[in-house]
Amino acid sequence: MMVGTTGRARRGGDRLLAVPDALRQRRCADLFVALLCVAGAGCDTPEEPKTYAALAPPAAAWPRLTREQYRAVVSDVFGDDLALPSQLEPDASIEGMFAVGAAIATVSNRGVELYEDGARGIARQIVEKSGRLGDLLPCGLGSREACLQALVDRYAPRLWRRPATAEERGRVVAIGLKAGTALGTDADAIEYALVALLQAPQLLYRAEVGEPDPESKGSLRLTSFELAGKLALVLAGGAPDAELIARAADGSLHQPKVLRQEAERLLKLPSARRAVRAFASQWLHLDGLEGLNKDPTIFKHFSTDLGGAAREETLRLVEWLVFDQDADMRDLITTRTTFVDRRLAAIYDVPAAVEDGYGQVTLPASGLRRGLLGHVSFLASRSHPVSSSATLRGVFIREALLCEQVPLPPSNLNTAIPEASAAAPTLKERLIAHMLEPNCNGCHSFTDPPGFGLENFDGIGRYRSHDNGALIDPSGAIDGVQFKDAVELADAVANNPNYRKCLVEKVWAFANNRRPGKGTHGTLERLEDRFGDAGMRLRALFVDVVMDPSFRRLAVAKATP
Amino acid sequence: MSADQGSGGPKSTLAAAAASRWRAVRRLDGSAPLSRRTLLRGLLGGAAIGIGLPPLDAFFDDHGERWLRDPWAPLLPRRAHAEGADGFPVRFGLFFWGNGTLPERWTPKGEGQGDAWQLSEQLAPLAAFKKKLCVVSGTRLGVPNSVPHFAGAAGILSGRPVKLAGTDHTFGGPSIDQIIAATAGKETRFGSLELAVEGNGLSYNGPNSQNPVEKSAHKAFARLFGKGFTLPGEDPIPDPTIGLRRSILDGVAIDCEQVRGKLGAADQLRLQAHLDAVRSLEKRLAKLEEDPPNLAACKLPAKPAEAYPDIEGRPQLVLRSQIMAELAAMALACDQTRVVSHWLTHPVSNVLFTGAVSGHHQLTHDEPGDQPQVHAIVLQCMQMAADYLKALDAIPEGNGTLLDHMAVLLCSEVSLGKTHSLEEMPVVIAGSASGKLKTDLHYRSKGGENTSKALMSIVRACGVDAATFGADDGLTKDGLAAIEA
Repeated sequence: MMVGTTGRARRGGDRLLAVPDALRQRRCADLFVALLCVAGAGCDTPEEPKTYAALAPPAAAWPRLTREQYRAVVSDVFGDDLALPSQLEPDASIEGMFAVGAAIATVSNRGVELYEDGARGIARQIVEKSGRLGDLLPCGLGSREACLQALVDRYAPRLWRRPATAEERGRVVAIGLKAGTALGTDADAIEYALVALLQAPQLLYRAEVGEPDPESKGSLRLTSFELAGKLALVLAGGAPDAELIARAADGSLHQPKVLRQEAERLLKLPSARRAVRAFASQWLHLDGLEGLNKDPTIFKHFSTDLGGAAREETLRLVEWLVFDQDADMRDLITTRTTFVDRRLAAIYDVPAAVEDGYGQVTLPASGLRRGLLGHVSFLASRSHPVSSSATLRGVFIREALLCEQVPLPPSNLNTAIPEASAAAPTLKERLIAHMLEPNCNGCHSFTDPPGFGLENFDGIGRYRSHDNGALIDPSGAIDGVQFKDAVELADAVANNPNYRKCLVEKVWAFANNRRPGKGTHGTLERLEDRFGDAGMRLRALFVDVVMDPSFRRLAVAKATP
Repeated sequence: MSADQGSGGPKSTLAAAAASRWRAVRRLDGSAPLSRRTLLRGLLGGAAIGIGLPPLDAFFDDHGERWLRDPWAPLLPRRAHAEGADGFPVRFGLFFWGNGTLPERWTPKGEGQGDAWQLSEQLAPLAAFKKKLCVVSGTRLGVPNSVPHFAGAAGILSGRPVKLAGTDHTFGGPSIDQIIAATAGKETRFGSLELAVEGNGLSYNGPNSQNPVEKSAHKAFARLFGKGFTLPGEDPIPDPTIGLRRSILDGVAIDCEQVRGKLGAADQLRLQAHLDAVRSLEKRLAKLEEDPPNLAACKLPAKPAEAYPDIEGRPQLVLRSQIMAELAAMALACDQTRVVSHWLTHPVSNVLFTGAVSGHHQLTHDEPGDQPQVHAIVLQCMQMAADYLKALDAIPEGNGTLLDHMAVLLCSEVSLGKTHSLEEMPVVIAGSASGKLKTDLHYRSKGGENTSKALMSIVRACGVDAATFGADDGLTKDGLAAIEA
């Protein structure tokens, strides 16, 4: 097992610089090692057959649907041709993960206003679109009240991810009846009943409060509907479908065999791509890309829609690796295959495969560009508006890909890096000079060397051999592994044991709306071992994560007054 | 005493006078059980019929200069908000830009009031408003500088240290705009408005609860002045759906209550926030059914374009800031809100300003020497601040202007961006808050008082009866007596 070797690997790490204060040089790395050991990830390689620490399940939660999930649930239930609200309460992010932020996210005054506005807009479209109403609710016969009751019974299970209680149904029906009286028609009644359904906290949040677990006295498990709703969001990125609802309604979803069948079934549906895209987008921080801003006088290839295109490239590669190749996830870092439109093709200096949209291309084997670390989505977003940044790129590799914590820069410190000079013309040389500052060295020697490997890509991600007139030396080392350029850096990152561990942590956090913590170390370790043994396949990891007891068990809450 | 006690006018005037009394009651009693519309509906057997009434001057004296109390006012609950001598409420504005100043070129020369002080190089763009400004210099944030930029933002705006959770951080309490809105925002359709030119702003209700900003002027216009907005003198269009919407929100509130007991303590707080927001929206919907306050300066602003695209990779900051300023000014003039924040840029913003060869944040760290480009950017920010104040000062109110009835805080999250310094914090207050704050003043703090003191003075001038501002190292019980009138 590779578990536990990471600390030692880093200790032997980047001997890039001879800095007098060796202790200070290792400050960042040591801090992280200390955290790891305290966290119980194990600082020695175990010799005997592995046992894993028992799970201490987390307390009940009440995550808010992310904006993307809200839109997906609504379009799953009412049709994907609806214009959904473009503005909603922003998601809270924890380390880029909206799924984790969801558990602490609140809703402001403005947020409630936006939900109301959104609900009214959606309901209006549903009743205005000719024929849709009839499809949604064929209730020509019977009373208006019966019709409204049928509406709630039909839509609440998917929209709220559980059936409405009699009381909840009564409230929605009463609104519909009131609207019918005030405004006159059945359509009005249905419209306002829909507005009510769409604003309910049952839709906007996921109450995961659980029920006594008959198989484990004194502990709680998610109810079958809570489990179905969670499963649908994690594996399909939206509302549970009729079959999953049926498994929840008859309670069979509690059987591990049925749960596995459902998980595997959901992962075969087209909506699984949506879920994996959501995961990748959060893991790789792709959501900020729409606002990508570059100085076009310096970067001729920049246009305001480049960020969105770059995001799509990375998501398509992830989708292809996961669904079409069932690939080892290290391929994301090392593959020469990618998907480009004409703009990205121009930046990569390869012929575009298709006239419009994105086509699959193979990057030249002789080039330095490989995998995610060669994507514009990463290279351009981890740069400044006018220049590259080895530091920002290194921080991303450390934090997002290796789950290592980079301390914040100290305050009240001159943070300027030295000017370019004849002695130090390139960014790399300037940063190395910066590292001679004892206050800066501790972290920059941790973050910058991986970034040096990518200095052959400028602030927008185009290849360059020279920086400021001087030949770039893209060599460096990461955690004791030397690399001579971006190609070797990709191998070093993909094969870093922390990459595998980190990916498991991210998927678990995405699925469970929380960071791994006390009580889940054994769980994470076991998942990581299985992930490694099974060739680092992401879909298998998703199945393992939802099958794990940590996905469905809850701690018994302490009595709250 | 008031205009509606018209003497010997024709019958229509009497009817108008009676109607105006209703109007006045509702203005003064937030919980008015019976609106004129309800009354009319009742009289007409439930049919929704709008009756046009002439514009009224219920709140103005014969010169249109006074926001008059209704003659029945003594019988009614007192208004919660601060009120100046001429009856206009005190309103709060925040103008924020990111990445600080160059303190040596920021701090004014001379101390005291009037001719005793002169604007500095970086404050020069505000020259037209010198008589309405109070510059506070020499203060420092008491909070630890634990997260560069963000600690300063939380420190100045909330008076509290950053709340840290792993690598993430949030405010430890509400920002000043929300502290004031909790009192001053009770009576208006919108408790507060958060408008941003760049970035996501820093308006916080509390930890992990940030208020979304409106970045599109087009959408801000629709929200403020679109459907539901009624100009003074116009009658609100009867809208039976408003009652339905409120009923739905009632149902949402019940749904929230039902889940409460099942949640842990932290989630119950989140639930309460949602519930409060639902109640707040119900109140705002009720406002739509009321007649608008009769304010002479309230007019429909020009409708902004759908988008103001970047030119050569540079956002049109000046134009976008100007348009947002005009929307904010009219939202205040029409009493749609009494608290506005204007987020020009944000901490660590790397936006490309006109003429700059690099992003703002990068320049603050990398530009050598005395940083001429950073200086030019600060000047641009202050020019946009001047444009902002100009929009507020262009609204006549009583014997003065809207700006005179405001306290507008101009600030950033650090002083010298290069070092993330929290010494010499840039603080400018524009407007006297209806005479509660001194103007044409440079107050230079001796010995680096806590910046929170200046914000404490502002909070109190805006009518909030607060004992303290901030917490921990940012806590203060006192304002700056020297700037209070």
